[in-house]
Amino acid sequence: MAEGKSFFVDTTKCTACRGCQVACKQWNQRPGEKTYNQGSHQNPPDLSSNTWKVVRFSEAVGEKLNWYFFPDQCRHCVSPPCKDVAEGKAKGAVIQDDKTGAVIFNPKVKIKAEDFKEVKESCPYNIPRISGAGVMAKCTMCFDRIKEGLLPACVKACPTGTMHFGDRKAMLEMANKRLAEVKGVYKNATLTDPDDVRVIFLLIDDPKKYHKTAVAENTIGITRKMALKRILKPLKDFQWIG
Amino acid sequence: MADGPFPEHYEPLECPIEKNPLSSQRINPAIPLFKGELDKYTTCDPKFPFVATTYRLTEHWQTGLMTRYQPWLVEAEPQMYVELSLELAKLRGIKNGERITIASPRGKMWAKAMVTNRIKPFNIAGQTVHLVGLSWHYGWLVPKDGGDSANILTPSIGDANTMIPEYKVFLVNILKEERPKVEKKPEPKPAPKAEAKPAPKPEAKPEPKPAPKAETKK
Repeated sequence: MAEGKSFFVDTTKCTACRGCQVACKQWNQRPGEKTYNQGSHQNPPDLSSNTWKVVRFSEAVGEKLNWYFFPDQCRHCVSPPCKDVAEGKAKGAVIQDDKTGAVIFNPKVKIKAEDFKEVKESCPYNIPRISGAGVMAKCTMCFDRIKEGLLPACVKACPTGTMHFGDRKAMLEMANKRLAEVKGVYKNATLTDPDDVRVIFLLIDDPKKYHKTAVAENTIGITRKMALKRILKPLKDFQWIG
Repeated sequence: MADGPFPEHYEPLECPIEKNPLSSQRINPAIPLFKGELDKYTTCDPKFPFVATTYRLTEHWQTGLMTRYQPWLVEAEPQMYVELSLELAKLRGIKNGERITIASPRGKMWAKAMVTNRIKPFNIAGQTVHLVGLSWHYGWLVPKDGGDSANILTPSIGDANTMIPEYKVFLVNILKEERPKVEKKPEPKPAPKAEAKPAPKPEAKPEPKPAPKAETKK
């Protein structure tokens, strides 16, 4: 389980064409939302039960123009806190695939609004959304594609070489190699939580300038609430950690 | 060739300076100018002090007739916008995301203000000239409240040989929107309770309508 699959998102190559955002909607058959121009090219304004991938635009105000693009999506945590929380609330609502590590919200399991709130709060990246019917929704790692050996729709659609997908080991290798290259030009370049998640972004500046939840506030699993939940759970649930 | 044989610099038909700094001829003399009702041009006019330019987006194709019926693309770029510098926004008291009016001698339209660092004022012949950028992908029916095309503002002039349009430079004025706001803000994030509420509303609305009809029939 430590292996599985991973994404590497090299934002230095992202031009914010939003091919990934539209490809996600196309493959997963999500309808378009009614949106308004809010003074930014970013739209839809946020993730929703119908928008699982959104390219976030942020412009740093100052003398020099810094326009950062962040293709936000579920990070598919190696040990997903949403699964731990949801397990006690609605059994089988969150599933983790053994082979790939994909974290999937089961569309057949409904969850109560107050339970969903806890699941959402457990996510350090503010990803889970709920539909009107009480079903949670987010990125599925295009599970139906990857199990057939295809690339996820967003990776397939990316024209600039920003999105990569493959075996976790290869992706980590690629990410570290690219980080070393980029470090020469951008001293603040970082990888976002590479040990904890399966969607690793390469950013060239403070992650907060990209998006407020680009990196986890706390390392996954050490918030007080989560720590308590962990302690209370039987040990057999943790076999896959590490 | 209608003009030539040597390349020459001319100022655009509408420009913020009175003289061509490179020669005594301001605009290309070989271009035919239309004389229609809407062919009104202006130069160095204090009523239209800003330079406007038009360009495309990745999401829409030309006038958008093909792409504006595509919900995923309209979702990504839903409305006519005007990009302007922080300096100009400060000058006119315009906030980011606000609806503003853009006027040229040929017409006026509304657009969403996008205040950005990407656009900077020019220094032309010693004076500060502000630039605004527009796209021409919207207009007419779809999407609803998408706005109009920047072609309402542009002058009908092209180059001397092929009449390739000169829509990249013309003069406009921008003003705060006078009209009352019609547009609704996007709904809050779909919490199950919030979505449960709107459902009965549409049901409630059609109900009163059939009732008066039935009465009139009787």
